[in-house]
Amino acid sequence: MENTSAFENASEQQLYAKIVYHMNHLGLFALVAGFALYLTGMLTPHVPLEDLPQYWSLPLEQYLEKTGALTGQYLEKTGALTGWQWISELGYGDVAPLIGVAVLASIPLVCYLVLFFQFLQRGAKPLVVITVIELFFMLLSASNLIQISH
Amino acid sequence: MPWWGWPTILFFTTFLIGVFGVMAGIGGGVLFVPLAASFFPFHIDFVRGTGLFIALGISCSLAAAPHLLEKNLASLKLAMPSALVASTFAIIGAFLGLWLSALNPAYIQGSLGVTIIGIVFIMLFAKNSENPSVTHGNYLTQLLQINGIYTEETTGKEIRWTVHNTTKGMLGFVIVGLLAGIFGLGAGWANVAILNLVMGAPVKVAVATSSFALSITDSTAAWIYMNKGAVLPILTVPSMIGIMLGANIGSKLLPKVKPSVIRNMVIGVLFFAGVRSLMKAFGI
Repeated sequence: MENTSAFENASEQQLYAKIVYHMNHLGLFALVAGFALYLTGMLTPHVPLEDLPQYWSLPLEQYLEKTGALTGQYLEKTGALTGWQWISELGYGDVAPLIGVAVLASIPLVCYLVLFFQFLQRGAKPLVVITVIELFFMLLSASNLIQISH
Repeated sequence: MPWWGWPTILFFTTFLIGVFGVMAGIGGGVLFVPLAASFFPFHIDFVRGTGLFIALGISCSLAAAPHLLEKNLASLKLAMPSALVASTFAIIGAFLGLWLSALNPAYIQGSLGVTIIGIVFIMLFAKNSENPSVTHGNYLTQLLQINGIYTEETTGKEIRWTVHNTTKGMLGFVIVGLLAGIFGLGAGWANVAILNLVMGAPVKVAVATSSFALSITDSTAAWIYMNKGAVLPILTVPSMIGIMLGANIGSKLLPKVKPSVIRNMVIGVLFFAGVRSLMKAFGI
């Protein structure tokens, strides 16, 4: 067993907790607000709500091809909105809720950015390394830079 | 059925998943994915995307994390290396899942069924250990200083803990990450077993850290699904809201129910959904 004086919690936990708490509320608010605008028709969707049952049982690629044809947004061979294209389409009902989804998915990313500077400041080298690698993978997955071909 | 029919049924289903999932101590994603993939008309690609966001958003991950971190039950030092391994493999899993599904969705449906049945057996036979005896940490434990202190509320005692078998634990998180990415399952069911039984963290620390690590693991895979267009708001938003409301009510009902009865009931439903998923893969 280690020396008991070595047992301690990371002091950054409290700060991490605060960021999670506030961003979680912000994300949920954006999610519900965006969805309300979508359902009430205040923002017109790319795919009309009553047509959705024709598409939601299709495999992803077919869905993208067919709804891409509807929206007129084409990306490579597949068609519809992928990657970060949705940012430019936030005025559409079926895209607006994605802002809330993105905020929720960004919570760990923002927390790790803050952690990076905190760990750097107190010279916790192993934790800085872990934070940098994790940030790399988070940014890589969020960036849509990785592509697979079939 | 009108367009709003299935999303409405989905909302009430996820509400019930939230209520019973919390009472049974089983997360949302692991229940949602097999049930929605087997009994709803939505394609499994969209179900998996939603499953990840459910796991991300459910109160026992994000919303509960602040409370757990402040009480020092969830440990940042324990979660960070675990989440790093799991999230890296969750990215690989997400691509693998989308690729397999593009080849033939039955591959995913069938392997989901097998995985869910496997999870049922793990849940039935893996018994947590409240305060495992950890005699010494290893090099990795020392290097990362994976240890902590929390106050046990029932006794008022200060509990000091560390972990061992770190390498074995990290190998476990490789599998957790892959499964989370491939199937969109929240990984709470496996995190606790690895942290507690393999690495020797006290059960309260393991449960709290698991919820916290889950948000990191699932967020990387969730971005992949979102970037590929596999997040349909009409599925994702009612499911997230339903499960969060349900989890909130479930946590309030928790002191009034017998968790073991609910847990066995939920495991029964999970087994049924796993078998149904397997049958669907074979076109039965």
